[in-house]
Amino acid sequence: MLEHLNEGNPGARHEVGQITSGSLTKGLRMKLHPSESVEDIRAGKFVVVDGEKHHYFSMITDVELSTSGSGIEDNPPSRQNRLLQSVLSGTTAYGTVELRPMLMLPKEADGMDPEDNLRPVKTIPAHFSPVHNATSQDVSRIFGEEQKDPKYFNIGTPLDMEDIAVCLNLERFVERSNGIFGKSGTGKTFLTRIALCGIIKNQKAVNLVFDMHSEYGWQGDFEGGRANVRGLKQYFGDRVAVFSLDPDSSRRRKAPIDFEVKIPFSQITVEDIILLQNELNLTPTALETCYALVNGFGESKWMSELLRMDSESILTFCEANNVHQGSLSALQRKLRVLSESCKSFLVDDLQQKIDEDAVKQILSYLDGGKNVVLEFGQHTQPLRYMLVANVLTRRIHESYVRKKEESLGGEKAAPHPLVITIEEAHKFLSPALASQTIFGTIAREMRKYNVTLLVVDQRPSGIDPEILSQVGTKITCLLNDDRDIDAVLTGVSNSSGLRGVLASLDSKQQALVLGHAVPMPVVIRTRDYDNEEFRQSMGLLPKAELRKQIMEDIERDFS
Amino acid sequence: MDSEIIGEIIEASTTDFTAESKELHSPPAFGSFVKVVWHGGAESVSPVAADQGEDDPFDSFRQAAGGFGRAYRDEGKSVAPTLEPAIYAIVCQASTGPVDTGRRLRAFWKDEEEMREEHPELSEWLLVTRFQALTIGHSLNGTVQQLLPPQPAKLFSQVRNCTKEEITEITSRLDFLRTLINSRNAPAEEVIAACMLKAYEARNNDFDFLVSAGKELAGLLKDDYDRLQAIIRRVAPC
Repeated sequence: MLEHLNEGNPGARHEVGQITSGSLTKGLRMKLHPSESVEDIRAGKFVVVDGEKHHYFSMITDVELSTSGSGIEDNPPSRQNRLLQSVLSGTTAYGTVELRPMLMLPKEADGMDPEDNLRPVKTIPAHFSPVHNATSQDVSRIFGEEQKDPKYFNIGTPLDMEDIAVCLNLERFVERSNGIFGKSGTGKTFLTRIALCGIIKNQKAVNLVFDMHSEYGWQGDFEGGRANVRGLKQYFGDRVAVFSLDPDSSRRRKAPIDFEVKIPFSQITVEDIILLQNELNLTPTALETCYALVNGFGESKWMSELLRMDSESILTFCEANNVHQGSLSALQRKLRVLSESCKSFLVDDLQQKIDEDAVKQILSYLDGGKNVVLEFGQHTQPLRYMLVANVLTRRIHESYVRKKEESLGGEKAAPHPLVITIEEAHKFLSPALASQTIFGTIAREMRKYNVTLLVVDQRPSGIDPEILSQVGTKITCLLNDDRDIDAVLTGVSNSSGLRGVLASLDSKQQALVLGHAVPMPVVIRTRDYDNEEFRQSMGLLPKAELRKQIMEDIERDFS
Repeated sequence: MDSEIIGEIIEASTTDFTAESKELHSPPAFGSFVKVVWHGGAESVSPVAADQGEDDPFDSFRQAAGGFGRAYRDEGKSVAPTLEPAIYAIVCQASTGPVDTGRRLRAFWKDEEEMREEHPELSEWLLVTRFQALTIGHSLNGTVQQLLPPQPAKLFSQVRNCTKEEITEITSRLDFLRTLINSRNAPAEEVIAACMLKAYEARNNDFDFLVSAGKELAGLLKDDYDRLQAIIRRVAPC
């Protein structure tokens, strides 16, 4: 009798099929075992091909229905003929599965540390090699185990496997710029929170988060009616400082803040204004006009002086500096819009003295190993967000370059690795702006200076391809638009199989992780954020124990 | 416990044999599994035969034919076999006619009662029922080999029906289906359908058996979907 291969041997791996053809460049084809249902095979599932000399860790990229006999497609069995249907399924009509081998591990290295022996795939398994569902042991061999090494951080579980974690290698994660992409509402923010928690908990880098929607600092929303979820501050206490541009909003949300951010005009440079050229509708000549102003008044005063000019002084300045009057007036009008729009945090420091420079404060926190979340409160318009993010990041960039150079000179220790999280990243990194803004520079080369970006975006096609190809690790939730999918897979070799996987992700809590921090691309069910298990793994006490401890403290203090 | 004798071999070859039915007009059912207790050459002698040596009617024949007698066969045999050595076959054809094939019969235009009274000679004396069976395998050392036997069955050997247990054991592998499909002496689709149903009955109507047998056939008939469909339709339980 054709007994199922897996019966009678419960300890063995579950065999799902056999390799029948394939190539190194196009991937492998597997014939599905007759007793397996084609509906159990899902794109993105993690399987292991048992070759003669190597294990091949592979991902399912496509599933197909095939028939070998002629005539069966024209004359399919009637639905009443249960026997004929059962006979044909798995024999003449069968499932074919496309696999993409991602990594190979020599069999002789079984039992040794897999990290040193995992290799990119350079060959393919022999004909009829059996294919198994991956076991928990396979997953931990490839992705590491959180318990064994703190550099590994659990971010979720593979598809159809609940009992084993897929881990990010945080050391590698912070080495390069990373991206978290996905359509709106697919869980980008939750994923970002999880990644940030991992970095902070394991102290692999300090974070600066430009928190456009005030979701990371104190608490965030939860789609679907549940109460709010904790933010980073609630998890890590004084290791996280919350800065706010809009203290009123923070007060309304009852979110404690550590510092109120004010930005003086003197900090704003021409580059910051260029970044806003789309938002302010600036003409190309505005750039030249700005530089003329900088020449005339100096870097720290040009903006204050421009905003203060009346029509007469404009005329005088134009004549003296050979600037077109219309263009200077236009620039002045547009910058007045900017200053009016941002008046709650943009301060003319020629008129009003500000107590403390927010940038210095942020830098001193970062130097001290503390993480900074900058809440924007009500100031969520792209104009304000971009201005603030750019001004701060440019200063931080300068400071990091200086510190790194000093450390290269042997004078000081290298600065803490810094991860800057930006949302709506396509606004900073669009092909038109990426070469000019500071974020473009960081994405391209700042890993040498220990600064990397964590780019969070729903429209990756809007990001400069040159920058996308340099992104180290990409964590991608569902994307539907073909251009977005193309953009995410820029710089990924053999990406054709991954396209289908990416388009077939669930709309919630599923993500494809690929790149520098994982040895092979993998689809995960994202870990639950802010449940009891997550809280405990972040070092918070379980609820019952916490209550007990509070009661003990109260008793001790009042007795 | 052996089943009843149903025939005796009157013609044998490696691939099939013809036997005379013990009962006139009652050959074994079409597609049924039959066996011939087999005593092949020295290399394939089974310990079962050795154990039954006292009663083995062929022992002296074998020695006379240059084979090894019981004394040799008793040596070093310790495995307890489950099946006696036999050739297995499937009934694919049966016919009743005059013993003397040179003479054609004529119609009498009488009913059965009248015939019995008026022509008692037209019974086993003048008529004979013969059946043909396709060899599908043999058992050796207690296990079924889905191979043709090294020698054909001996003439005048007794043919018996297989027991349910034997049918279950034989059909635990289905390599013999290929032998049946390729047979030229029999209506292959009909034989296969009939023998599948016999095995299905012997296995207490196990639907899974039909499915796995069908899958085996589907592999063999991958280029002939119509033929496969024809067989499966015949065996599909209503």
